[in-house]
Amino acid sequence: MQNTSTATVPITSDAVRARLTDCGDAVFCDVALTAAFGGKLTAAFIDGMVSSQIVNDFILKPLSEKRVFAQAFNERELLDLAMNGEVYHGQRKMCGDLETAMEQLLSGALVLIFDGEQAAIAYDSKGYEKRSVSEPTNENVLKGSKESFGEAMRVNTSLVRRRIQTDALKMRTITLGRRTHTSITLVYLDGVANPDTVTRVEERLGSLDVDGIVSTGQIELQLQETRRTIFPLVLYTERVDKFCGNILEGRIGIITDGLPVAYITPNDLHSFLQAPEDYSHNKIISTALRILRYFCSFASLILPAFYVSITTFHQEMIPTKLAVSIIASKQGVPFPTYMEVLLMLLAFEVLLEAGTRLPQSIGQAVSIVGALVVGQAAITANMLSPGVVIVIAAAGITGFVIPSQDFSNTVRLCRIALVLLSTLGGLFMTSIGLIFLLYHMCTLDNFGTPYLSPFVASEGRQMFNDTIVRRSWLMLDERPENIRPADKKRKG
Amino acid sequence: MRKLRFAVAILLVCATLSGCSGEPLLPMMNEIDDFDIIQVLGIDRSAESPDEVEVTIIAGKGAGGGGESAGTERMLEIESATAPTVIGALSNLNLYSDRRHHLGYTDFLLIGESAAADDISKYTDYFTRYHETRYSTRVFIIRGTSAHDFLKSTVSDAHFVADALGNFDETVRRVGNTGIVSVIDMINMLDAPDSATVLPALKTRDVDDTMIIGGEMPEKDFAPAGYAVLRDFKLAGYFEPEYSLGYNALTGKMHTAPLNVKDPDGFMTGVIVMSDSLNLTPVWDGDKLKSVTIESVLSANVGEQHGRNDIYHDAPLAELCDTISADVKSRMEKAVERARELGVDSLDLAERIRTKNPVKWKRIEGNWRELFAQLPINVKVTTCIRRPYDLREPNGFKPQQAADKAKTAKEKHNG
Repeated sequence: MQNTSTATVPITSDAVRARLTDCGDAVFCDVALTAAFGGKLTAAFIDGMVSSQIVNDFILKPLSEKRVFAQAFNERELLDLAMNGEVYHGQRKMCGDLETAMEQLLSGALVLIFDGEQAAIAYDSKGYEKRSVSEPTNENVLKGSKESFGEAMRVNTSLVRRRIQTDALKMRTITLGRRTHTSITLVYLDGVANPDTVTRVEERLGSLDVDGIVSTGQIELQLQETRRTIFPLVLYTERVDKFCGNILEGRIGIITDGLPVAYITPNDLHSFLQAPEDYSHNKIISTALRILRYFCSFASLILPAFYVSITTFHQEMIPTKLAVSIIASKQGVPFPTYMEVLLMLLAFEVLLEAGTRLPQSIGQAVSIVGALVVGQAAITANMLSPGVVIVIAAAGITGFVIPSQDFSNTVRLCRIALVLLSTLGGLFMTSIGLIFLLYHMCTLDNFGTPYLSPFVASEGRQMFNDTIVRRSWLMLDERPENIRPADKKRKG
Repeated sequence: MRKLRFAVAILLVCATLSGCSGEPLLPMMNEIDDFDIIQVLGIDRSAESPDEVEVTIIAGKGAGGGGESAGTERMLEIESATAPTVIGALSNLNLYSDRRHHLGYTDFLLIGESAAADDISKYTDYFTRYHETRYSTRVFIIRGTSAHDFLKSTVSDAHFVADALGNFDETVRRVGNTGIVSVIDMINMLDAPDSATVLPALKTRDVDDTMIIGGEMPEKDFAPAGYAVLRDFKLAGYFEPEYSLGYNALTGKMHTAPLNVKDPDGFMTGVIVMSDSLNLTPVWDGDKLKSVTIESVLSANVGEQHGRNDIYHDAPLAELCDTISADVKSRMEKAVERARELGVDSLDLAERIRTKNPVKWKRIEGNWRELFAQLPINVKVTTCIRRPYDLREPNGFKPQQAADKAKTAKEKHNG
């Protein structure tokens, strides 16, 4: 409604002032001209969002000092001169309506208003403060690039463009958010990414109708075709090299203005178990590390439930010496095993959450106190048995091996569910839980990519093509089939 | 589909949580510390009422815990009960216990001599049938006493017989004069009508020269006592420990065995003998079994040498090999003789001959016991020394003297 009504409103300085009433950061600057007809222009911009050097030296100065502007006979002539290069600024745009002018103004442009002509020219003069390119904080590597995405979208796109210097790298920008007008850029490699997927991603993002894009969850949710799942379907990264690697594979990247992470889609389960360093190490070492990650993910998921099962239902499975040791350590502990495990899991989650929210220095103190209280004091006071503490600690540590925090969170939640199932029927119910998880994962699909592919739904093709086994760069001659790339062949 | 999933979930919850049914669908939960782990179980014929079975167990009590009591030694309690059946005796034991006895961990089943002499199947059927016990449980016959007395005299707080038996289980492969038989092996032997059931035997021994510092030594210790041979489910006799190595060599159960032999100079030499291969060849004359030849190929390592001569040349080594072969052959022949004395095929010949010639076996199986008593059994042993472990000459070695001796030995060997 707003667009329809304002489109008919003529662009005048008064109209713009009226729209920016009570906006203390809006600056209106009258530019007095020496032209014979005595005209006056208004320059409007948002303080803090424009570069004062660009505004003063390259826009206002030529308007005041250049003779051609003094010799102009009317505003129409001034408008033509300003539009045709007499102002030293390359990025200019004629605004045909008030809404366009307002959008440009609010995104960091200086808008030069010609009241007489009811027109305006927007000069892109963004100069707001932004964080410089810094090291990744969550995805550190020993070998590899140290550049990470920041909040400024154009900086982020330039980081990508610098790495992939081809005209096939396309960046489609769309604006989302009724109130925030947040810019979102779809990055893909033309001729490599599946065009149908690109269209679907763009359509899904375009259909997002919200007041503003202020958190990662909004974009993430919109990029999930299946929403009834706790498994992450969209991969995010703060690493530019990882982002570019995925773009080269044929995936689609999404960079959002104001968010220091970029999204990658479509993905399979394996994407969440890959680490950035996998491609920096020797292939055998990387393969061993990937196997370790798969093993640890499973161990983290199953260990507490397995412990409850074998100590309360299937005691015969425990070797004699271990059984004797467990019995000895459980003497005097008042809680049943499943309660001990659930309490420990709860304590672990609480410690984790407390450590995440607190400042780093206090967070470490919480970890130490937690370890002492939960680990030592609880055992000494016979509140918990050492076996349970060891099992939960092992489950926690193995969970930290998972590179994706989203996937790690899923595993943490699922293991609690499995513990509850194991208390009902031991390994029988645990197996039912695992089968259900497997079934659920089999049903997941995002933008045509089955979640468990290439292990399922690929008839065995590419099962060992850069999945659990990291093949040599020289042997990587096919792009992942499950994302249906336009160009299946690749080199390295 | 969604409704179906919902219905299945509801059914599952109802089935698992329902308290209406007397028999729960899901297995019952039992905390592991509600159990007493029974690692050793003894079975005897009851002394008071010979028709009854006496079961003896060792249960751990008041074990350490994680708190103040962490690390304390557990107390052991020897309990026994009698009943007409094993299952009845075990139930009686549970009646008087504060925790449920768990037989899933029973590693050792000790059968008293009186039970073995009565009818072993009566005492072991429970273990071959009931689901809680394991087929891998080791079986021993207690020689000369009852399992109850054996356990009572060999257990103390500082000496847990299960640990000692566990260690025995691991070292038995290196000893050569005894062996390991599990419940499943025993079932197979009991099921073979033409062969004897041969089970390793244990006996108590005095511990006058043994002490445990910081703990109480039990009244007695135990030692291997050869093999017990059961004919028609009853104890027929024993392979004495000195025949046991021969028995092991004849039946392919010898892995390694220490042997003391004299080297060509008459000095004692300690060798470790290993069985490389064992071949049984029945010699047939039509449908009649004429004889059986058992060929054993051994390899030996010289672990100790008391002599001061360099014996690591072809001729002295060949002589040493012959000595080892002769020693082992003699033991094997003694074992054959002992088997004949016991009047039953305790060397598992029947099964091996049947496997080699199943058709011909059909014609002799009816009178195998009589045939075995007179069957010529030829034993051949070949030995090869693989390693002397130390390539240098022994202490006090004299080169010239050694050269002369080697020359003489070579001439003697060549004839």
